[in-house]
Amino acid sequence: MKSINLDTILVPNAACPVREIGDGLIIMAPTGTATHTLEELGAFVWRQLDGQRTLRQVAEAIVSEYDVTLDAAAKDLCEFASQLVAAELVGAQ
Amino acid sequence: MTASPLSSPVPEYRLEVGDALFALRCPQPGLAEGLAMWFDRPSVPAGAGEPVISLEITVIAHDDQPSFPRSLLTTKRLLGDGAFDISDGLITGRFDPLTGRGEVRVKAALLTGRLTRIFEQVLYQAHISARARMGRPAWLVHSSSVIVDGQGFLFVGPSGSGKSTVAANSPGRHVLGDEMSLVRPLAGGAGGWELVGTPFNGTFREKRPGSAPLRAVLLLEHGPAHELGDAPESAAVAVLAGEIVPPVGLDEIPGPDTLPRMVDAAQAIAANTTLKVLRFTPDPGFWKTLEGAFGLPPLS
Repeated sequence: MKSINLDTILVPNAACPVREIGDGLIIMAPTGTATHTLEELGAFVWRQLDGQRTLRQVAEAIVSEYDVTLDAAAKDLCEFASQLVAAELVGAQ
Repeated sequence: MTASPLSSPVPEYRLEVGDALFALRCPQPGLAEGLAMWFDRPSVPAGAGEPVISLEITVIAHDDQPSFPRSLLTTKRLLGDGAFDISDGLITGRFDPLTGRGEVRVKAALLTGRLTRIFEQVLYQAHISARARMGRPAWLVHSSSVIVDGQGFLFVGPSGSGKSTVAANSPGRHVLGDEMSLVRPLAGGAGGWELVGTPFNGTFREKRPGSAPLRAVLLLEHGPAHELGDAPESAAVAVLAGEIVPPVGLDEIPGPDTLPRMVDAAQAIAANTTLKVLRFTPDPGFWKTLEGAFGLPPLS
């Protein structure tokens, strides 16, 4: 698996159906056997993943929206990105 | 060959799930009576409606020791022309969605004691086929359900979360069941949902038929005390979706749209009712919490 860093670009897996539920999201695994829920912050991150922005740019977007430092946002974002990749909800470039 | 005027009609056990009537044709002696005992209700009288699904059930003798999958959908294969095989011959059959008629052959072991609950999943699939034929949506939900003061309460959660415990700790109340409930749109198109009991069996045997407008969906969690709380909407919908019976008919297998349809159904149900998390201990005290939160009268 490609290592995740702030230069990584995540591309949502087009085979995963997504539903907007309140402030959050439900993303369904490509195998059709599991659901993954993202609450407000996770959903905010998901909506930034346009296949163009790097994780550094996404972290900056988090900082502009939420009361968090860039270092903290970047650390949590890379961990979250690794989980998304492991669940095959996104691809990493 | 024509039927002799002296020949007996094939015994039939008629079972209603919501407003979907199944005719289970049972040519083998004792099978119709056995099904009536299992579901603890007599056959719906002939003339009470036209069956939307008619299945001939045949019990197959065998000398192997079949394995029993937890879900009949994971091992189901389509063989073409409406034929299907589940778990390498444990259940085989054929279904024609146009006529609603079909046949199911089941190894005898699966109709023994509690294993019959696995066989019930065939009827879940029949229900999906029935709804498709009727053109009226309704969803089977793994749940306990109770009617209080004319209002329906649906208790959901994964296996082990306490659905049967809720039923067992609701003495004196109208328990619809502890395994499977039906949720369907309220008549009249005014929005909202109706909660309906089903004949499907859990471990609680004092269930009673009935229906009521759905007042709330309660997501069960074990806790140190009785407490009603909120859950993020997306998480609550995901839990509810996971308890909805996959919309897969007798002549179908799960496909890419199966899970999205379950999530969409859960979202639609959630949009017109109250979703709460109920943390509880295994005693009837949780009803005090619900009475306070929903303005219910105490049990007299």
